[in-house]
Amino acid sequence: MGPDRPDEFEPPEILQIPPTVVGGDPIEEKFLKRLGYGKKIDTPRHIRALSSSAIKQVLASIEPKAIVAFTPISSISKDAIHACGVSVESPLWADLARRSGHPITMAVLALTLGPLPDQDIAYEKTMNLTDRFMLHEAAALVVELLADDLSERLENHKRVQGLHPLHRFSPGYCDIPLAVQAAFFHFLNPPLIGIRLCDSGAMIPSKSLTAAILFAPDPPALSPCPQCDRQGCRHRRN
Amino acid sequence: MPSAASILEDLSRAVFAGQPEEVLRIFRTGETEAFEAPSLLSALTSGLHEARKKLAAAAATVAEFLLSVDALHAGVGCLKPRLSEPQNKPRVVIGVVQGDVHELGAEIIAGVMDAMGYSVLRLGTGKGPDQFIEALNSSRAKLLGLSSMMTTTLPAMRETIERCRRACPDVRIMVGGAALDSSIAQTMGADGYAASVVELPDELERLEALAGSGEEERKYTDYERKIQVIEKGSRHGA
Repeated sequence: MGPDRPDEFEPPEILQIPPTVVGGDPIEEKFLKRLGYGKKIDTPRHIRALSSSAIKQVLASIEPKAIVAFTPISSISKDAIHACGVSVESPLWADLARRSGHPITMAVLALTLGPLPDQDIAYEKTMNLTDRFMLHEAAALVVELLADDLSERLENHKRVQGLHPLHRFSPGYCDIPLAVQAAFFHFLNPPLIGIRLCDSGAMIPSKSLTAAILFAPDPPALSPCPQCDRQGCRHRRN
Repeated sequence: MPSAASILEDLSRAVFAGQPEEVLRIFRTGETEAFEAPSLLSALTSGLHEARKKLAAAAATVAEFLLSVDALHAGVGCLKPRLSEPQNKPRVVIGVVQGDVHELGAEIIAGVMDAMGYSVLRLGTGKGPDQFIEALNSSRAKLLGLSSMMTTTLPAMRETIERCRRACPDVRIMVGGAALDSSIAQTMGADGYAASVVELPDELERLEALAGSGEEERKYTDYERKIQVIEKGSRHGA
């Protein structure tokens, strides 16, 4: 990971998938949970077999790549977080950032599974709806797990430098508009790893994501009490 | 030799249980030859109806329901040579509005409508209003299904609805997808809206009944003239 200067982009990095992250029983259990099994509905044996097969097919087809850059935060206004080279309009995230240990650095990342999962899901490949649905869901889970893994790596890297991570956010979630996607693309240049951005904010390949993580010197407060003025409140936790 | 009733029950049960191979096995035995195609079709669709009820009651997952759809599909495939015009159901054009790349939801709807006997023309993703109009004209479809999973593509959906309505006034337009609810669908001028595949058959039935009754009423916003429009009566009599 490079220094926190926006002019020093990380080169595209091809991720090797650690089996502990996206292989074996944990991913199968997560997948079944994603499909709606576990709490109220028991998993039928044939669904377990289909799930296992879908995960194997996805893992065999993916060519995960990610691109990451760190940039210093210049200011946090009421409505946006401004960093060198990229701004994110999001009143809620900006509010959270202001309350969370004075973040000074933002990591921006893009990640893709590559084009093959989309091709496997295509109607031309198979008309079987169940297979397509399973592959789609398995690929969606894998991209999320890879993003978790990448985030953890970035967070560990920054922890060594004494910085604490806040939650990861993506365009289109919370109040971050999809329009921010264009700013991320301008900043990161994800076409270097094969991700194309549509005017609508959608990405091709579809199993791709972008995200940002803030890092602060102070650990984020686990309770909102330090930001609250009611000093005498009997529920106050310091 | 199994009784007539038991063969029909077995077919229905195999669809309900999501067992395409079992459906094919029953057809391969040749015992179904003794039945009229409509009776067999009715047995198959009753299985899907029960599967849909189970999904609606949250007692089954989407994956299990799609297995039932695939099982029905397998049966309809066997029946096709014995069915004349696809059960008097209208032809339908289905596609994802321009800018959106999420195809699977529309595909699931297309698969279910296929299985219900509709003649479905899939346009896939990335098609603008002109291509929808061309497909409606060339296929002489009476129903258009549009999907959008992203709020950023709703303007494209609105434009597609408006243009298709002007060019093909007899066509009924049904919409769905994560970016919509019934109120947005109505505002944009759609005739029908299904939140999921569970609501689809009832909504289709409602549209067909309305079309036959001459009591159609459609409220929508005409964005060009900036007025609310209420259309009453049948398309031809309005």
